Amino acid sequence: MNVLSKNRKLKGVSGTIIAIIVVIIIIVAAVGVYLVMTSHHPTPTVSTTNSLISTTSSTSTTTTTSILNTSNPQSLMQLVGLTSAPSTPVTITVWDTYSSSENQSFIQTLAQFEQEFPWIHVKVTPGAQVGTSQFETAAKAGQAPIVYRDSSDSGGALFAAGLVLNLSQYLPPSITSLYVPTAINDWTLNGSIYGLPDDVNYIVMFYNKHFVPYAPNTTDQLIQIAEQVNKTYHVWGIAYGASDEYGYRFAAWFAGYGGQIFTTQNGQIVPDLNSSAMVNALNFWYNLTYNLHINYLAPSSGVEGQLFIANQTAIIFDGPWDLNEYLQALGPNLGAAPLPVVSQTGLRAEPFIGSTGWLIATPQASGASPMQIKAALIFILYVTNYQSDLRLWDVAHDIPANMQAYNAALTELKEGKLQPAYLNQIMEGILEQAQYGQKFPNIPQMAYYWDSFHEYASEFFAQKISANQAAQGMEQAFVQSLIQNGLMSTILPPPPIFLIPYIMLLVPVLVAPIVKIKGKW
Amino acid sequence: MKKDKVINFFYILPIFVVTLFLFLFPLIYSLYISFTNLSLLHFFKYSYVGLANYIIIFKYGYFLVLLKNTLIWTIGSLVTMMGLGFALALILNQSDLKGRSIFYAILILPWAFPGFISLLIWQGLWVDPYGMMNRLILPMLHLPRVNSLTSTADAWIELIVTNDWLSFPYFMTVFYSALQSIPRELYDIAELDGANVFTKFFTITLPSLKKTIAFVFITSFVFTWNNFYPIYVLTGGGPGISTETFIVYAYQEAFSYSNFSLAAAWSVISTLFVIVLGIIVIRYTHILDSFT
Repeated sequence: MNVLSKNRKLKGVSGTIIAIIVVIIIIVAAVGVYLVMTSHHPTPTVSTTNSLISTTSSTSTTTTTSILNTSNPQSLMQLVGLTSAPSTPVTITVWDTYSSSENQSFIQTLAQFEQEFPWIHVKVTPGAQVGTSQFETAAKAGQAPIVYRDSSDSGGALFAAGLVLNLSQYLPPSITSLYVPTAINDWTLNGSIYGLPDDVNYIVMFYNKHFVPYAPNTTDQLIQIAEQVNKTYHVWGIAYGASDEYGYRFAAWFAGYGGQIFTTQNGQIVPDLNSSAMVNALNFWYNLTYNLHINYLAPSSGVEGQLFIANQTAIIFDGPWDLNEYLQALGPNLGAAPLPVVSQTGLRAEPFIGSTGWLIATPQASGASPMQIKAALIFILYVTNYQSDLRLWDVAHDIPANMQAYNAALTELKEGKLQPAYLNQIMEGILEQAQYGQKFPNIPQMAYYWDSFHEYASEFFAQKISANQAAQGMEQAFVQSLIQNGLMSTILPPPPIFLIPYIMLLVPVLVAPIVKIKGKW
Repeated sequence: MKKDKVINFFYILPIFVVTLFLFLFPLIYSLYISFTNLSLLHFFKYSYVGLANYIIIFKYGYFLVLLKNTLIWTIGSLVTMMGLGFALALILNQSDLKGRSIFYAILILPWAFPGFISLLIWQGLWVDPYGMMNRLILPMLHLPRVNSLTSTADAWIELIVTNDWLSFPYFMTVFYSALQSIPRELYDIAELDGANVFTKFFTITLPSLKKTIAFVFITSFVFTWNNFYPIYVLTGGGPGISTETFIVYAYQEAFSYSNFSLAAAWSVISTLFVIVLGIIVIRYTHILDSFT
């Protein structure tokens, strides 16, 4: 009896212990899986709302400027590990991709740089094109410029290819605090900085106050105003060449309908264009163009600008890089405002918040010596410093990427210092857009988005295919391009190896009931 | 004797070296990289991948669409360009035409302009409804407006008409020179025999121009097949890829996608087509027989 009760007791104890162990295993496994999943979660490339204004803080600016002073020649030299100027002069080659108004500012910056660094001779090639192709051709021959200016997405592709330097290996991590977070994030890939930004760019809504009584805040208002303009003045309400688009501007409307360019599946970045958001965004512009006849399907953005200047259209979507042209033509009649809220979804049309900046080619691509690399680092720090960036703002109205210059620009605006006076209101509208933007994806996959989008969007606006077919087609073409270029596998990868131990821990838990049932039988 | 042969070889050495480096080397290099994975992601360290790029082209590429487009572009342009050039040459060749040199000078003007600038101007002329073609010329001729953004047929019309304008002076000049070389006496004798205009054209003019037509046809076929700028500037291959040819697509693969090996594979296929089609044309039309 005692033995029996002892056995029962033992059985009861061992059952309790097993139950506790099982519970502990489940908890450990669950916590482990959760921790691993959260710590290894891939960097989201999907659209996220950014705000230049909300992310800036004056405290961080004052702290960083005391540590890193990129306006002082001696500090700059120390930053790259030089105690004094070398005895022999160093020549660096620079490809400048600035527009003509930006170049006016750059020439002044360059003159000042050569005065402060007489031992660095800068050989500038003006008029280079943004985009990777020219740089790649030169890099293949080992003759790429040592310093190059490009957009953050093109720069990202060059960095992924190993053609430009990882600046994180040369500069202290605190360097990021010198720049507006949105801008420096655009130049960061997998935690590495591959370029220093000199401006922030995105599109806004420009309107002609002669035709448009107030800036439309929703797409319903936009349609209403455009129809009114059409009826009253017999000019186009909007000029937007959606069929000529490669998806830079359209991305804003896609986001407004709740879409995102990429998503992640089992840790793999995959296109996400085939969605109701794309269908709705395409149909929205189709309706404005073909049914309501309020949008002019312009063959190029240049034609849109010409119509706007000639008072033949009331609204266009363009970036501040064309501001001077519109200012000269429309003067106080020019208005700028953020893109409207899509009435159907209640979401803002969010343009890409991109950035242009300076990169340094790897020695393999440019043949640069270690001293030339140091000189190049000094150069890019100098052309993105407070004075240089503020000059770009003052001369060409580029939105500064340098934190101090950005804050100074905001102060100028608040105090209404810009001349002519109406420019203050325009710039306020432009800066307001920064609150409603999406991160410009700088992953190499992005390079294959443009043509895939263009091919099917242009077929849709040529009325050859439906919006559904266009959305399916562009995603398929995008996927094919990624597969062809080795950026996507046809079969989704198996679960990551690091999850295997945790899955193994779960095995006894899952197997236990089966063993128990078998034991009973 | 042997020494002479060696010396003779030195005379052709410069052209041999030029041919080797400027023509053969790029061709062989293209062929070589078409069997590799040279792209932006394999820029300095690329490897041999066999026929992978060619498999991709036939598996995922728009091979048949591009072939159809390239044929429309080449034949559509060639027939109209040659026809227009020939007709204008015949008009200029009329013995009783007054102010021939003035007409010739005016007609040759499109050739004097840099092609790329002309294309940019034509791009503006075709803008619907603001460009001169859609605003003035086509309505004047009671023809419908052309908009390459909304119709593939319109896009082809835009491309071929522009290409005709850019190229007809060449054909006109070549044919006009050839017409001038036909002895006038042949026409006088034919007139005495009572031959009409058509008889003279088919029995004297056309046979006399056989060599010229053969030369012009073959060289222009290859040139038009590989002609890149009109399509790239005017339609960009659109709408969709409706007007995209092998060469435009290869360019995009190389410079938009930075996939140089795939672009090289497309170029190799395009070149093979030119060679095969060229042989077929020569075989079946006996167009080169007149040279022998």
